[in-house]
Amino acid sequence: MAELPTDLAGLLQNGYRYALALTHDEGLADELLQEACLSMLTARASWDERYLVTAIRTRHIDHHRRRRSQRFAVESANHVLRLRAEDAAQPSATRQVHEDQSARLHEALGRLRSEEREALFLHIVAGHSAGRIATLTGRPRSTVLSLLQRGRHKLSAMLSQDTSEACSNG
Amino acid sequence: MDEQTTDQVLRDHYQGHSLPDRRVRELEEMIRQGLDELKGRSPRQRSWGSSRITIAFASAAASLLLALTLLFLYEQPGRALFAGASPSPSIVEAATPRIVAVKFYAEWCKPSLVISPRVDALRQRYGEDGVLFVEVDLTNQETRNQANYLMSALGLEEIWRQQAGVTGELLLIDRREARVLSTLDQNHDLQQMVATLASLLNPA
Repeated sequence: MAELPTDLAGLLQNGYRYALALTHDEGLADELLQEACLSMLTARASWDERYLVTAIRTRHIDHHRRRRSQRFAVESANHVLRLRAEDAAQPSATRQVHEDQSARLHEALGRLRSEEREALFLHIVAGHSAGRIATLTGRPRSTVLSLLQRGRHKLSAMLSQDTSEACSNG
Repeated sequence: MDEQTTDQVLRDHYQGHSLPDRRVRELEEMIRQGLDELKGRSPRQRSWGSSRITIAFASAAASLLLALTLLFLYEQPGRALFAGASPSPSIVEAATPRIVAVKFYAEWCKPSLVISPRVDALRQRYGEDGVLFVEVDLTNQETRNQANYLMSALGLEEIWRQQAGVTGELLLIDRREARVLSTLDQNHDLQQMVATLASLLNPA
């Protein structure tokens, strides 16, 4: 019988963030994580990152096949509203800058493909090598490298463009 | 923006997103309960092998008894139960709602909590109007086993298999064809749910 890791909470948080990178939606990420945990229980899988990533990924693919793509504009607006509630204690100028940056980043991430967000998350946030990501996702290493390069380039360009536009309007 | 800055921005963004502690505890509890149930079932599962022959024999005997009973009823003169070679389709169909509304839920599932009051409102409005409302509980392994039997009894095994344990959804199913007509979830408000069900009950 599979034993639980000492830091199960940490594993679940990392799983949630990975699901968030895939779906770009907090509610869906929560659902994916929960469903992945259930499928791991059913399969009596080992409670480690590799199995959790695979289970989340599998559920994401199932969802993607059965559902329409997300309503991005609504999610962006909701994201900004949540930030306003959380940052209410900050001085207004700082809060506005934080909101703007976070909203721009959220929008920029939303414009990336799910595969690009996934590769960027696993490499930059989770710290995996391209080879390890290739194993986790079942993609060729060359494809992972390509996703990383394109995703980074697009994200950097979008964030730089947004910054320059804000300056020109300010 | 250079690559290093982009990487750091991305790292900060995702590490700034966390599940609330309460939610993490719910998931941990769900996992621990699930593992406990699996451990608890294992010794019984191992003893099943010796019981299988007994169960198979009992099933065969029950099937034979049922067949004999049906034959007895069929042969009896004047019995209205089986008029002619088969039951009257109109009697059977009249007793069986055409649409089955199946709510897949779990007690720990947030979308389930969102759709439940909407489904209750739908049931009050359409429960006696040709729609059979069924709730399928997927909270734990025991209720999932019961759900499996329920869906089999309804003749909806394929839909049950395709649903693959997803909760927080209301499926509107054509019972005769065992086909999903519409899938409603937390993104559908009550008005949309009513409109969808009404259009299925009274197609233009």
